[in-house]
Amino acid sequence: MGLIQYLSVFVFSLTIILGLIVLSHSPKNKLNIVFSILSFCFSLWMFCNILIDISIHDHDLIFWGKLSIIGPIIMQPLFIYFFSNFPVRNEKNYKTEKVILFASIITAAIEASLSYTAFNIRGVSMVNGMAEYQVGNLYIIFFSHVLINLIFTIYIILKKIKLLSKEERKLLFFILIGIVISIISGASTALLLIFLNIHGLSVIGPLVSVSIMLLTAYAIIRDKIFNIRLVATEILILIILSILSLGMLFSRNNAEFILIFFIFFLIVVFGYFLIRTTILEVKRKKQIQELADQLKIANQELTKLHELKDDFFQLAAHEINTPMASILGYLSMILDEKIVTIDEKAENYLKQVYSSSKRLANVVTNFLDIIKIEAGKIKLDLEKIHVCGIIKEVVDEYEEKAKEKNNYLIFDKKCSSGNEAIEISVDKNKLKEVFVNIIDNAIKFTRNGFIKITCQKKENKLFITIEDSGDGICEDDLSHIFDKFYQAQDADGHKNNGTGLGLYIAKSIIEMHDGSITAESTIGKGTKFTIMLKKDI
Amino acid sequence: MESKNKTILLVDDDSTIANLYKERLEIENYNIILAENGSEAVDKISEIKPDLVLLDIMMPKIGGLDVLDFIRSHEDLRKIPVIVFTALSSEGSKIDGLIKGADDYVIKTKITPKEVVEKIKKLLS
Repeated sequence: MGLIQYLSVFVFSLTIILGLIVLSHSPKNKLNIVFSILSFCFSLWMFCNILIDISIHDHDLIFWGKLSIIGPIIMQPLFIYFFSNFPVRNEKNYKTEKVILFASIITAAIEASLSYTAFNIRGVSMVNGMAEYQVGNLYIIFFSHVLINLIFTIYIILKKIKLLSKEERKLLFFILIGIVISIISGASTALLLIFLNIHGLSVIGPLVSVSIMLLTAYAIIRDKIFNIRLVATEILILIILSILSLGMLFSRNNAEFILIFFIFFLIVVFGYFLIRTTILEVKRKKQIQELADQLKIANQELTKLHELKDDFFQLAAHEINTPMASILGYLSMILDEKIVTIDEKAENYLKQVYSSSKRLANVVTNFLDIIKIEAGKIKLDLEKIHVCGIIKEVVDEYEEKAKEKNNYLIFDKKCSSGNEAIEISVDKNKLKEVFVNIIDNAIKFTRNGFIKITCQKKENKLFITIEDSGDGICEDDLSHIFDKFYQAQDADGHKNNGTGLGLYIAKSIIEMHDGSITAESTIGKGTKFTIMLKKDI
Repeated sequence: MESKNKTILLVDDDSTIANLYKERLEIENYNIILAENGSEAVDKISEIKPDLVLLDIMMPKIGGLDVLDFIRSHEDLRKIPVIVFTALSSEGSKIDGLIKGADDYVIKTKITPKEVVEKIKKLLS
């Protein structure tokens, strides 16, 4: 066998594999199926040419000669269908395209039915060991068909150019180049064959025609998934199969041929599944990437929401605090400074209003602090002060309230005797909040008892205890009292009304000062909170 | 004759607060001028040259800190004492305020009018 025959076999294998590869990419996709059939038709044409080359007897030559036109005939309507749907369908023009397709199918059917007659090939003669065909008028019909199809294809493509994206136009461009090259080469060799009877070159046409196949295949595949690993796998299999086909060519006997053919078959099957698995894997990776991108977007949205939330709360804080300041301000002027004179009853009522307003202000502060704590945005405004001073302030404020429940509120200062005066860097307002929360709680849960606060210095640390003789906290609750929103039950088994935030905030604030807060309690006897603050933070 | 007829410019976009402090400070015999927003404040400061400015930070358009900038950047206004007050308890604002040259910082909900009066007296003496 000569070089041209080897090349023919190679091209033949190539087109089969190409068809299989494209099919394996998306077996259900109509375009891929059509392309694969196109590829197989082409293979059929190649196959017939190969057999023409090795046939000796006239009737074999005529048989394969007649059969060789079937492939190209089937390809004509398939081309129309393919370009009608690739890369996208032009809905506006689709009716016209369907008509063209139908016409092409009818023509192809007629041509196919005539292909077994003498209309196709009248006869053959051997000249110098090469077959010379006398062709019939079918070839003229066929070539007209091809030409008309070409014009229609260009028409279909031009009609849809406007609809395509830049990427899609590039793909189409690739294919058009391929078509042009292969038409020129195919037509010229066919013309040479028919009119000049030079057909030794008959395989050059198909060889070059493979370029259209390759480019289109590339376009299709690239459209779906372009992945180095995948392409490498496919090339590897391609090479293996090519070598195997050469092996078949060079096989010295039938047994060897069958063996190699068997291996070839196995590799085709194996290759098909391998490629499918690789494609699935690539698809998975793409999915994961998409999910990651979605996650990124979701995160960005969340951050935006966080910021919106912060803005909202800042605004809400301002809107709540402003009238609050006004209420507290006027009440302070009336009740603390006694700038106006009011009768006793009015004063009593207003005192209730005042204490409720202060409580409200506390709740708002608690809420705002929680938000800042959660956002990790709380900053301590540190100044070196006497902690006992803050405690005294709170004790004074809560004296009335303690008396109402017949409690003694005692502050046992052990921390400012002489040079034991302790000044630590603390956030005054935040620390006050802590004491308010704990003392308020203590008074709430105690009646007819006492609330005792002590303040002691030990080494470089300050220990503050707040002890009450109240209801106490049961063991189950004790480990949870510093949890957010946790509310212990009171003596009657009712859940306390309150936000459940006070101790959580207190703990957060103390820990921000690098201190600690603990609680001990016996139910029925009372509770003792111990706060430790370091002198140096 | 000193602290009796001093002029204080009170800048706040909320009229309730403004009136509250106007009431309180007039009891101390201060002359109170009100400004509702940043640009009004800037105009009045240039015009009247008050002895002290009580400045709210959160105001629409030209905010308190911009007014503070204005005061501190003008030679003839630079020495006027400014107390910044706000409804927010944001520490960040405090530091901003103090950095920009406020003499004191007050949180509306955590202070009584009496304490404000004391701060003012201290700055004007």
